[in-house]
Amino acid sequence: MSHNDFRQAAITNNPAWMQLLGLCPLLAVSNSVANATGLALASAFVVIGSNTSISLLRRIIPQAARLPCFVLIIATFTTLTVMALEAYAFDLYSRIALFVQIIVTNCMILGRAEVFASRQPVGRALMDALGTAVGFALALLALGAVREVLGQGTLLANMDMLFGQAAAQWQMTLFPPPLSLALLPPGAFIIAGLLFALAQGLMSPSPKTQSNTQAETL
Amino acid sequence: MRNLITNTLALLVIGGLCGLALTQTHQFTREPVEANRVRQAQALLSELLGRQAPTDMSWQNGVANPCGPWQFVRSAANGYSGSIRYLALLEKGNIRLRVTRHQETPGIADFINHKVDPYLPNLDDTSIASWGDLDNITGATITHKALRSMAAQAQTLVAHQQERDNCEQSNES
Repeated sequence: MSHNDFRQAAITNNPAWMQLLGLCPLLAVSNSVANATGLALASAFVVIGSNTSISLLRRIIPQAARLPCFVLIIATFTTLTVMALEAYAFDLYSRIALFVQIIVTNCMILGRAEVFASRQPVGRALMDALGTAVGFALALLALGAVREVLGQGTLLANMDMLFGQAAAQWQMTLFPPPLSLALLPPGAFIIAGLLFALAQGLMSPSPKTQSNTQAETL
Repeated sequence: MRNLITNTLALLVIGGLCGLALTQTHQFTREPVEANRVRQAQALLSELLGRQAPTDMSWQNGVANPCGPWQFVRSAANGYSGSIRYLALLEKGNIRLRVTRHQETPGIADFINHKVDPYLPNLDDTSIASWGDLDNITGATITHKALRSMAAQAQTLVAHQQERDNCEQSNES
């Protein structure tokens, strides 16, 4: 059951390419793998923490005031993330702080709280949160990698902001930047659209399988 | 009535738990956050001054070293989405300015972020008199208007502080 919850949240109902949720931070911060990783980790902490807490507190959260309670819990986890980033990853905080702060309004997280965590036991809520976090991270990292390669001609640049000085060696310089548009907002929309279409195309059943299923049904 | 009391108690419990988590984390992260802010501020002061900035400067009313050959000013102006905090160096009638904190629209107002756009570093040593006449930036009218007001504001703050500290008399003596 839990394994299925994880797969559903990460792949089948992926928040980015299937539900198109959380697009504002996704498009804004995915101009490099380092920024994308930072936001993915921050979002993961918030969604896992808030889903688990909401599931634990679901019996005492008043039905009439559940949305303010969800927002309060999500805002708390977002603020904790901001504090931790400012304390231990200050350079990254300087770059993406604004987008970490608006995680609180990310409908992906509020959606999981309302639809799943507030109605399910902790184990299932945790697996759903893990799946959502992994799904969002996959979309962020894929978009970040493509945009960084096309826009800057590098991969894994500035990872030392997250993982210390040793990570500065991870940078790969591939070629001169072939498409600077990739770093700009229009480039983000175009590349995200193409990647989401690819993901949906890969996940949709082939016409042959579909017709077999229809025949079986008939 | 019973529902109202139950709901209020539940909200108090949830609010209390959230508050507790925040205050405890604040206690835990306060020192490294403060150290990071001081380190960043010191680096910025040194960048503006072009050499190592003194670490023992005292700030009064947002002005440091009011009676010296140069002055630092930290203040804020109203932008499109709230106040834009800045740090400025005033020296021989010229200004160097950096924005330290803002909530302007990302992308549109990136020009005020010196780590992203060289717009402000390129304006280093512009005369205070001509700072207010900088060409506007299309699409960011209010942000740029706030930026243009900063030099005059910084100059006024320095003048007031010099008056309070009787800088002319102390320089003469």
